[in-house]
Amino acid sequence: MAGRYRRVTAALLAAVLAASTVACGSSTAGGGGNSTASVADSPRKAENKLVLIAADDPGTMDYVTSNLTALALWIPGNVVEPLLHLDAKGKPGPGVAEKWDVDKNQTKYTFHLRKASFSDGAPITADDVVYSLTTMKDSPVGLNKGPYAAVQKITATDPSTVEVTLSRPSVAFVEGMAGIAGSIQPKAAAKSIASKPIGSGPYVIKEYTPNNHIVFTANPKYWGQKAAIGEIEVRFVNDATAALNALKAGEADAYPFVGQELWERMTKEGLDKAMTLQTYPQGGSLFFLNFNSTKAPYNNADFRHALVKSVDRQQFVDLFNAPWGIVPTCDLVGPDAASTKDCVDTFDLAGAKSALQASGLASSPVEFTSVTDIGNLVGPADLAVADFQATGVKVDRTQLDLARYSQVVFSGTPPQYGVTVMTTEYNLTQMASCPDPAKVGWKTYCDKDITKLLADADAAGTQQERDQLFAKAQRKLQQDAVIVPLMASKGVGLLNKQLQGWKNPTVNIAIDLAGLHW
Amino acid sequence: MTRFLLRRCGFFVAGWIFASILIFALIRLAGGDVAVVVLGKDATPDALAALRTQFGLDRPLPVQYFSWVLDFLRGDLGSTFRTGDAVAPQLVDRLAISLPLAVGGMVIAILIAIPLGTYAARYAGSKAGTFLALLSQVGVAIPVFWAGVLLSLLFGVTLGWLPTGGWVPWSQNPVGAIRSLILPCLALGVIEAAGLSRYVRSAVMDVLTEDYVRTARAGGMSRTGSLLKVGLPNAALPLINVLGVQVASLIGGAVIVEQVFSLPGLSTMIVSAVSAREVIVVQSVVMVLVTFVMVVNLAVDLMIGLLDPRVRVAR
Repeated sequence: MAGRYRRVTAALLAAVLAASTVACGSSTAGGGGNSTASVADSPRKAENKLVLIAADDPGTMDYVTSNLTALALWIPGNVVEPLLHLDAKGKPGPGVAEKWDVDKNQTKYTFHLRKASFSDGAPITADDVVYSLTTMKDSPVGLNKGPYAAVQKITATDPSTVEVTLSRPSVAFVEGMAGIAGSIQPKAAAKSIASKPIGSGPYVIKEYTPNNHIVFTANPKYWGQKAAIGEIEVRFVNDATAALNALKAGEADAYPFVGQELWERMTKEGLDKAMTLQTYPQGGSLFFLNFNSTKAPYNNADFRHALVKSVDRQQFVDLFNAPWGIVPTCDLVGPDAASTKDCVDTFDLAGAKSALQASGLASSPVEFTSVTDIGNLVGPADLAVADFQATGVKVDRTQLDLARYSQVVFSGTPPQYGVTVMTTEYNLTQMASCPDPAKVGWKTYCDKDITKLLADADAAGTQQERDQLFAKAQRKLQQDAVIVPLMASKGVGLLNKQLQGWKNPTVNIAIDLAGLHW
Repeated sequence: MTRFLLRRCGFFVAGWIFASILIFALIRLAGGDVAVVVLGKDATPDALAALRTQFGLDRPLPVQYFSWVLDFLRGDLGSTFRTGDAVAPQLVDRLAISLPLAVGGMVIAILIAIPLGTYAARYAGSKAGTFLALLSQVGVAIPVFWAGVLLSLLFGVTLGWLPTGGWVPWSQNPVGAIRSLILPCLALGVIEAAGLSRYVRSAVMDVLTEDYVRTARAGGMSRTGSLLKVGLPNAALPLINVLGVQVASLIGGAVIVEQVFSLPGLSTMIVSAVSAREVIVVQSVVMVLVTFVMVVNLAVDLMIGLLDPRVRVAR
């Protein structure tokens, strides 16, 4: 009797395994009707529609008071436009402002608005621009507020002219006007910003259903070249397997922002061949270690340097198995400028051990706090912990979900974490400038010299001068080893091969939908 | 009967109050701060404090609890912190997905489990009966997410018959909505059926040894006839009880199925609200679900009490 049960159980298990192998196998080998190898013809092409996949639903469309990447990907540049646009070389050009003048001191900018309207039909007025810029200046989000550090006054001089007065010249201000911080919205429709922001961009939000999708339609009132694709649906698919399955089955035409944690899998499943693999530096992020320098033993620079020496940056890059998308760096820069040539601390395990002994803090445990529900941060946190442990130091790891992590790391005064790994945009000023030590916040890094270097760079007359000051600031950042860059990644997207017209974003982070066409 | 009714209703009210306190406390014990989630890592302490005040999160906990419970009882489920949208209409929208999913899953589970369990009981010890018993055992061991992934790969990616995930609203395309629900209902129903069929098998095997079945057979009924006409109705009583419990299990399974198939139902709403620490959304939606499960169980209790006088008099 027992033997018969065993045989039947074995047969059942074999059947289940065979079924799963058939299902999984066909998905990777491309044997079935809609498998990987045949991701080609989109049924949406004939209807001039497009379905995109996104991993995260932002939960709100309010780009003024929220800095979620999931939001920044879609709204700026597509629905709301900034005052200026970045050209292909990253230089500001006309946007909502058709042209602008700067006085000889570079402290007074006069923006001449184009004769255009918002998608709701209301004309763009100087009052709307003043309202939008003032709202951003008062935004609780650092990235939005940052470019306004030197702004003294924003006034409308006539219905189509806005004057901005600065206390000193500021490159960050001009760059900000070509970013989310310079986004223009109609004052009259500001109340609907959380669920249906209005702007003057090439697309309009037709529908936003939380946890399901955003549907964009081409803005018929757009002042520039009209969007080629009439309707774009961004479908939120939180589960990675479901996202890749939707691409393989041809239910979606693109996955424009594939998280680093999926790169190896998408390559293994052949999607990088079956679809167009698009990389773009603007959409990437910088991975870095952050020490809480207000707390012992992390307030000891020798201890920090010893731990940084134990970190093998190349190993971090190898984790994602995609050298085309990510490179090691010890400077807080994008992937195109990233390098490890002149790092202050390079990987040297023996050196790390002896430096740790020399610091007299080898027996101090390291409190490592990491986040569990952001896929691309799990692997790097595991590696950092292993690297630290290799020096013989004891590591106490706390793993938290994003909300709890945010509370522990970002809102404590002083912050309660020890060491953590996270990602950020390539914005050295945002990360390291600290004009007011009382408001240093979670980064805990407040260095007078670096703050001055960054302020000087912001006011620099030439690009060369600015680059030199930035280089000095980067060096100081490395010497202090509180914010420790590890690797810089590009944005990576998968597109249906028939989908054309991909352009690098004209607004940082955002994905430019208007250029896409079948 | 009145005493029985009052006792059950008393349990219901006490259970409801206990559940509301538990839900309120648990989401707060999880820590986290919606203000930080919304404003991100560069928010100033002043901005965070202002947002907490705006959301009413700086009020004493008892004040927050009573304010929420009283609003809930008045039918006001509150609004989300991030968009300010009312929770109730969102809940209704989500129910249009979750309800058919749960009902569909339950119907599939019942349609599979009752014949399968009855057959396994009727032919217990035979090859077929043993096979079915083992099949249900394997089914119980399969996680619902795995079943979902396999179904999606097979019917969505390989065969291309049904969508791998996503949701087409009823108002847009009812056929599309049904197509979106077939695989999730199957995943949920098949796994639920495995567990349920074991209960059916056990309940039917129990009644098969009862005197009334033997009497029916002695009266000339066939084994199958006595099983269907006399056995099954008597086995229904414990099964109704089990079905009440299965409703809660079904909701648990729906949380996973909605994630696997990217369905924007109630479970997805709860999961994303928990991640963002939208405490009002979590409390209100979970409380609605808890109330629903409690009402189902109360109805089951009352029905059993009505059908079986022994339950009514039992203390």
